[in-house]
Amino acid sequence: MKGQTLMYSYKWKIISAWIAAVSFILLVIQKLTSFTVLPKFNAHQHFNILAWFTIFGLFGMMFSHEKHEDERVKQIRAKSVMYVFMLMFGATLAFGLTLSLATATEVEPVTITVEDMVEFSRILMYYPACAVIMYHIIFNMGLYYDDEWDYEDNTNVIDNIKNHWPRILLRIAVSLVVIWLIFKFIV
Amino acid sequence: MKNTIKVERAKLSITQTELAQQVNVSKQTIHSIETGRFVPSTLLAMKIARFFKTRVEDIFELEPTD
Repeated sequence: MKGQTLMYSYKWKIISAWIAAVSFILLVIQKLTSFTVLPKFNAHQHFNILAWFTIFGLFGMMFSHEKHEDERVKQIRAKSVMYVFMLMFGATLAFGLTLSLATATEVEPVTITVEDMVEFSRILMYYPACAVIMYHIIFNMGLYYDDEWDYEDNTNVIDNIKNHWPRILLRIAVSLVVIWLIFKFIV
Repeated sequence: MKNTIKVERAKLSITQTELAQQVNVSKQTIHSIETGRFVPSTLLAMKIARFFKTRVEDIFELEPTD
């Protein structure tokens, strides 16, 4: 789109990295000690605020230029975004189908409290957290492990699965472990 | 696509990093082009050729599979 740019300068990557790093350290400390600073919010809400800043920092890094933003980097970025889009939309569709097929007897009526809302907001943050962390793993793998990247991308999906199924299985396993770790930490 | 960037670099005794700085890309990109894994755009190919004071087709050569 003309007149639209999504990318910030390399300077913002540094700033975002600092935000993410400091927030994450505080997040780990908060998880271990349940400390609170703002009297208005409880420990769960403090955790959510720090999780938000961590994800925000990672998100800022995602939309900032690299030091050398050349055509190879742009290509790796585009493919990483496509991969994450596929992964997260696939998960959403699967989740949506599961929920929509639930029968009335399987779902008990619930009353939603404020605590539930706080918990729900944390689960809501889990989704972009997975997306942005998966993006950074794939993107940096492309940047620094060149042998692991296919720039041509001319093979169709079925042939690709047949040719590289052990590697694909390994990546699915690693992805699931990463998602599980994020889930265990956040939820 | 084959290329002779490594040979041209050796003639001038320059490193991948120095070439990368001259054509304004990362060192990894030069490495990726040299190993034939990444095919550069016309613009980058012309910048590389200009740096070596030669023609693009003297550095880059199409292979039968291209």
